[in-house]
Amino acid sequence: MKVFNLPDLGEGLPDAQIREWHVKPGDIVEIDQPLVAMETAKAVVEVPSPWAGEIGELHGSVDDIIDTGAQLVTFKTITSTHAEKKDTGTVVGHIERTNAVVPETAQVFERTSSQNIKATPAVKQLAKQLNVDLTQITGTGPNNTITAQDVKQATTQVSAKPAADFEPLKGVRRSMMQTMVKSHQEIVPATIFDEADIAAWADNQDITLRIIRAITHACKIEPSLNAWYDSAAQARKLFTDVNLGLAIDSDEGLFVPVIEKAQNNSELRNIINTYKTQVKNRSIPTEKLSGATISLSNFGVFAGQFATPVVVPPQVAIIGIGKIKDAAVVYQEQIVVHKMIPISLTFDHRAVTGGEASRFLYALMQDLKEAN
Amino acid sequence: MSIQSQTVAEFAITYSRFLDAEGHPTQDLPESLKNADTLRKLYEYMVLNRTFDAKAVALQRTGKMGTYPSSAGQEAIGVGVGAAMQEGDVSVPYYRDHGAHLIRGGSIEEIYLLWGGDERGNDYATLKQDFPVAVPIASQSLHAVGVAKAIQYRKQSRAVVTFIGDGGTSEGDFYEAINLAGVWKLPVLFVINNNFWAISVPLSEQTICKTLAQKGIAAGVSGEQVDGNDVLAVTYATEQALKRIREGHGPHIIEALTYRMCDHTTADDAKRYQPPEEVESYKKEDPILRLRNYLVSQNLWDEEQEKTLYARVKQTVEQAVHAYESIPDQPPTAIFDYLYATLPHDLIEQRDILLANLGAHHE
Ligand SMILES: Cc1ncc(C[n+]2csc(CCOP(=O)(O)OP(=O)(O)O)c2C)c(N)n1
Ligand SMILES: [Mg+2]
Repeated sequence: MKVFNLPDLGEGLPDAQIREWHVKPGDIVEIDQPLVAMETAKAVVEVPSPWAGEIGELHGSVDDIIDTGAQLVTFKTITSTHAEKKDTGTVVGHIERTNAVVPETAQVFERTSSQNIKATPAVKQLAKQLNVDLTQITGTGPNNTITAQDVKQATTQVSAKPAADFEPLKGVRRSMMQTMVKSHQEIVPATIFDEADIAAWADNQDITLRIIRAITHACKIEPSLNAWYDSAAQARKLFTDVNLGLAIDSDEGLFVPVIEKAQNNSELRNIINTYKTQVKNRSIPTEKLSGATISLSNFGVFAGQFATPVVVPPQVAIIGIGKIKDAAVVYQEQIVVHKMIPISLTFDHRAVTGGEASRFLYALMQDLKEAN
Repeated sequence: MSIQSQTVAEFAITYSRFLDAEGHPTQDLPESLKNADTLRKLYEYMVLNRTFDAKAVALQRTGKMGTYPSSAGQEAIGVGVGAAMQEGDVSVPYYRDHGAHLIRGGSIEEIYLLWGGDERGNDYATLKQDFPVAVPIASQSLHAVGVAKAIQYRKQSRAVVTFIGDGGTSEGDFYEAINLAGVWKLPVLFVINNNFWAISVPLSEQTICKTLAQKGIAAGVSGEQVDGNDVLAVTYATEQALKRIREGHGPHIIEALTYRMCDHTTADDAKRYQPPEEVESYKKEDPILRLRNYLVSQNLWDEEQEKTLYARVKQTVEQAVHAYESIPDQPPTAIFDYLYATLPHDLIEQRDILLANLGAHHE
């Protein structure tokens, strides 16, 4: 017994309809003798017999639609047949075969070997020509694919091999370098400095949380600093949610995880603590590292009062907080000692006016001065 | 006002045949076609062409081969042209000239492999310089001109023969090819299979030219029409043309008039557009029947020979089918192995991935 399945009678046809049977069970047929007329989307075709033998069963009657590959005729006996295509090996030995389908799409693996690089063959070829190590490049194309532009940029950045006693920048430090270069090429920065007097603070204030609250307050008063600027399109976008990038230092470089909706987030402290731990053991999820609408850098942990922090595009503003210290200030016409927080606000002057920046800073300081 | 003008150039296209539809000679046969063995050989190869061709359709219908373009009714063209070619000539065919491949010593198995999707079919065992079958319409005309240029450059006495359909002669590639062949006086013969159809487009909607051979006139290339169902007319015209071409007289066009007695390919249904009375009227023009009538009338052929021939041809085709069906598949890695002399870096990587997958699958 042997079953003849309906072959594809055209070019990729899903099925065909039975028009007329030329044989019936019990008939003895020759090879190539017409078995059945089938109608496809394109044609009525005579399907010949693949084998000589006796017809056992017809799988369908006139007008039935048979799927390509489904049973058409069962032969009860076969008296002759051509050799079926078989895998017999060649003179050079056994031939490896597989039914496994090797996907044609880019292969996605963990980033451990060169195979994992997402770049088209042309880009890989370019990288080879320019002697660029693709594992060292962060792709800027769709799905982080590495573009020809990325490769070219990499060559302009690394134009020489480091001397023997120089170490090449790697990893986080390298991406810091790239971010800073990009910022420097794009942004037109201006910085305002001031100090907030926090003598009125009640006990046990969480400094970081107070600063964040002050920033979100200022964003509400002056939203043009909580924004993105698209320099290619020369267009800006203001946000109502404050997604705050919080700069956290580590031995290997700077991380800026994002606190979403910082304006009304009751979990702030927990989130910050989690981020700190994650940065420490390098387990911070990458999706937490993008999407900031404004940033905060608490740089003055050890020293440093004022700075000119760097705005990372497409953001337009960053607030730098220096080391809090006791200062002699004039208060109610007396020289007294108060705790002061030094504040540095850098903004991208392409998108933000000086007036907006100073209004923002004023609002921030007003909130910061509150007792609690 | 009457304007004076003179005729500065005049052109004519001739038509020739030796046998009419019944196989009666219409004129004396040239010496080269009086040889009984030559005539029988033409007949046998036309029968082989039709038989292997019908089998190819059956193989497609039973799922053993891909789309196939039959040459039923048009065998006199491939067989006649192929018979007139010399070994050193180069064939640059399209998909309806398998008769030429066979009579030039090519194998049926190669043709089955090709249409079965196996590129090894294009690696001809004997006809090493003949080109693979062109499916992109008219691309072969330009390839042929390139080959002819190479032959001319090497100062060899050889000819290139390229085939094209009636529809194909509407393509820019064809016009460009005949133009350049004319300018450079290249050793190339363009054979047009005018079967009156380009899939479902009839000749009347393809061109208003009275003949297709006259398309050569604009390129300064000589051309003629022959009865494409008379294998003797095809053979003789080709012999004469190739002789002139090999002697350096430049290109030529032969338009062979025939009719497509089959679907365009196995993926087509010609009944939907070929008028049945038109098909019927061409049945009596059949090239095989015509030559047999002539052979029988000359006492060069009888029933016994006919039976023996068909038995032999059947066996030849069966052997070819067997060879085709039992050839071991190529390893999957073969898709990489014939593209470049040195495989580029990226393909080496892909090949390795494939090999790794094969390995994993084997466990
Ligand atoms: C460049 C190109 N365009 C379209 C096609 C699709 N096509 C395949 S065969 C064909 C008709 C060819 O007709 P003709 O030249 O008369 O040759 P025939 O098939 O009749 O022998 C077409 C349009 C193709 N293969 N290549
Ligand atoms: Mg045609």
